[in-house]
Amino acid sequence: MDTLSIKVNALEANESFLRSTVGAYASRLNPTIEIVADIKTAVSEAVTNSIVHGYECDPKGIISVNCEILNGVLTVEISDTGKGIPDVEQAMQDFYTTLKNEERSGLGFTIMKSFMDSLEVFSAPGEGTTVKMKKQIA
Amino acid sequence: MFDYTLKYRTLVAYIGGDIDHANAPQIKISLDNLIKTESFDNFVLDLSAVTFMDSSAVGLIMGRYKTLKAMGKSVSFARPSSVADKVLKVSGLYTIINKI
Repeated sequence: MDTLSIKVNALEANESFLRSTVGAYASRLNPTIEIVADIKTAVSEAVTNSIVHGYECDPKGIISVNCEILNGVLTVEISDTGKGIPDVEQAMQDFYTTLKNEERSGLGFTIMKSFMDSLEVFSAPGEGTTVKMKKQIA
Repeated sequence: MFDYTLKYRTLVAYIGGDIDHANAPQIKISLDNLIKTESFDNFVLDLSAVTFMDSSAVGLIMGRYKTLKAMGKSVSFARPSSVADKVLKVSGLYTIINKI
């Protein structure tokens, strides 16, 4: 067994904390610098989504990160219990954003998909969102 | 990190370090102030010192690009670091902004 679980508040400061922590966790298998950078970027996207969309920047919200390394594959699950996504398929389209006036690029899921080997999104309005990503790291 | 040089009507803005949702607003203010106060024809965004960036940085760059284009300025990227380069490629920003 090799797992990592963290719960933090939905604070902006936790964006860099969580991506660095998951990157450091993955580094125990000596992946390339590029693989660690990819993981950090994908984690940052998911955590930012939870803060900005899930909790609408309310720091009382809790973000859970659960990681596992098994057979050289890193699995990262990032969950919130925020407002959820009504239409996951639509949210995953390139450039789709509900916050057009705030200069959000609408590319969060696109980047998660491109930078990781797999991406699954589970969500329901009022219940929250879980993003599950995997990447071969060794 | 934020700095700039202005020579021969080319304004080069240097942004570096980690660019994410937490610090994009501060960089946006710095860039907007620079664009507003300096007199130039060409705008170059030097990303050589970027240690991390995600889609928040893409939103930031797209916003400045629209402003600069509306002002009739040319816009290009210079020396993106490897992490910046990958995000710029995936986001499609190279299809609208040239790398010099």
